[in-house]
Amino acid sequence: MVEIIPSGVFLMSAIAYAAALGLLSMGLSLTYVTTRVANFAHATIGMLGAIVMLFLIDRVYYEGASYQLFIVGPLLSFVVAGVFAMIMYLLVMKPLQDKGNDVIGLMIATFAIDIILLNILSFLLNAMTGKHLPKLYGVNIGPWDPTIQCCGLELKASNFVLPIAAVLLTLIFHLFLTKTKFGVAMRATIENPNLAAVMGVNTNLVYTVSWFVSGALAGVAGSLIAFSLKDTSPNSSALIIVSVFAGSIVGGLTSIYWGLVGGFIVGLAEKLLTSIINALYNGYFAPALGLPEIAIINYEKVMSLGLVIIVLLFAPQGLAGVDWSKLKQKILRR
Amino acid sequence: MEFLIFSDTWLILLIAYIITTISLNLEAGYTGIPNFGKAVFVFMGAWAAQGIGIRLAAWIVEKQDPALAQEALEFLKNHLGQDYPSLVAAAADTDANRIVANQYIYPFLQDHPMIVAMLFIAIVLIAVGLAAIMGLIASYAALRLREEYLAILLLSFSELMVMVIFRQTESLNGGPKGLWAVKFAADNRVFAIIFGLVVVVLVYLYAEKLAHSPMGRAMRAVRDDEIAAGVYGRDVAGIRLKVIIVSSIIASLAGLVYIEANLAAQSLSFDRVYWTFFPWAFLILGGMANNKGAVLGVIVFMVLRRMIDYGLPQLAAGHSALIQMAAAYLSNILVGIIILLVLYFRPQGILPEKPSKTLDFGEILKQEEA
Repeated sequence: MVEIIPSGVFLMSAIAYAAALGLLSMGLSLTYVTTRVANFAHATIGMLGAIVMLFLIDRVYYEGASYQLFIVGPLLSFVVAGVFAMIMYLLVMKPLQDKGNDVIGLMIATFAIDIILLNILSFLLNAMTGKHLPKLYGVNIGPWDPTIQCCGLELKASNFVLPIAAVLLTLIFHLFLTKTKFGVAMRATIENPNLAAVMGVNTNLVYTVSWFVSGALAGVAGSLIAFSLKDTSPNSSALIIVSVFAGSIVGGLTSIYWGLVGGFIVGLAEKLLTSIINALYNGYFAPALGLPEIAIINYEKVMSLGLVIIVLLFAPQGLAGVDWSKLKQKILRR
Repeated sequence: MEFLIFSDTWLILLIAYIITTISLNLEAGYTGIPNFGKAVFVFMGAWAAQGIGIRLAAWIVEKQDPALAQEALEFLKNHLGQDYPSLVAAAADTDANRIVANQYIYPFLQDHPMIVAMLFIAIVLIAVGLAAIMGLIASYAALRLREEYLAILLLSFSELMVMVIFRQTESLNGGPKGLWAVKFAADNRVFAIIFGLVVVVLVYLYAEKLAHSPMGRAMRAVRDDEIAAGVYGRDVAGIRLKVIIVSSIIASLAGLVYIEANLAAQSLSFDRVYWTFFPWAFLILGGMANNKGAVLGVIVFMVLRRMIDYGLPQLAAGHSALIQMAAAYLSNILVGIIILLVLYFRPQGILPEKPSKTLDFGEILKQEEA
């Protein structure tokens, strides 16, 4: 008998992964709506957070699992990744935009930054870690993740902290957007940059802050997802970026909140749907029809691309473009 | 063979990149289709020679020389302890692939030049067919999506195909290790260089011809203003479809050249950095919508990169291990920085786009009189 309903531990890890993707997709959508840059380096900026974690483990918390790591790590990643994204915007993207490069030119530029950052991080990890522990390049850092006993389950701390962090950050960001003057200015700039500028909003500052927030969110997500990666190295970003873009496109690329939702949906689909299909196929269909067993669990990225294709076919504007009230009326009328 | 600091490996890579960049130029430069999934189209050429080609070759060996096939299976049984149902199954298996290819298939092919010639034609046709199918799939999206969406979708598509499907599914191309490709000549590198140069010349002439033809002008019209092109009766969707399929086919030939020179390559070596970002970088450096620029971009970039790769370790030699390690990573970092500088100081590239050559008005009059 094969279990089709996933276990609580697995469910929690899937939710944590989905929350991380949600944060990453939200950040990606944010820089897209403000500055029209589809940032290919976004996942690698997120991996900056993972590298901060590795350094903390190597230098400070090498003795073993500690809860302190889960407060210091994300906070430090928040700042480091945010500052990097801000510098990236001010030093590279803004001058290029002012020079009149088009969308594709800017995409190539983010690609170039991706390569630069990947190599800097790989070098740092190879050269600088290994003070107290053996070199932490491509190592599974799961052992530094303390186990929490909760509701009869043994849950990993990172799986616990990630959803909480995602909810907290979204709430804070939402309050920032709605309650502060600068947040209102930011929304105005997203709606209509020229009008906002006429009304005295410093749009450059808004753009800079949006890049900081985008990087910071990615940093937090990356720092906590690092524990569930098989091997924590900057190169993990190559596949994460696919899911992040999938999340943003499902969300519609034009709305921050829908970006969060899209990332969450893609994350859940990747983990949960693949495991359910895997159990169904290998547990029932394959033995019944005499088909060979396939480790469908390895093809989780197929799920995210499939979602993207479905969304682009049926709702090209993503979830943000769906007229929800109309849809509700349609359903109710039936 | 090594001349100055440039090796034959470098030359083959240069040839493969020139082919890829010309094909990308047709799409991105002339027609404005941002293909960020070039890697998968290049990979199709490699797969035709690797996963499909080696099976085909094993099948031919089985049909033509059953004794040899039986001998190979016996050998595998004795040495690997595995019982393969047929030589095709053995050739496609990651454990036995190297032995079967090197000890049985390559010697057999060397003795039968006619079979090699037919196999070569068959594999080129398979590569072209696979690439055309992939292009057809990609064009389905390309006809419908805005440029950012399309770029993201194609990037995801190529990562998915190469990194997920071909890596996980061992039966397709041997999984992470990759299978050994069919060898067409005793010296496969010289063969790859000659074949590659022929393809480069043909593809370049074709691209030049295309760029200056009415089709080329229609492509530029689609790029500059899709609606206007449509209003003037140009079949926008049809033009895009044709361009994607043609340039996918050209890109697959680059993969074939590359795999023929290296024989064995991991599926992972066709990743987004080397086969998507680099061609884009060459194109931006050389100049979009200019075939001479595309070729020049590849040459300038590859020479620069070779000098960096060669010079940095020499500079770092004798210094501490840390600096030597930094030199290894610095090469790629410099590549990224060069791209950013080009984008900032000369976004149109070394050779910018030129107005297309048309017939002289006097000449047209002469032709009409005649």
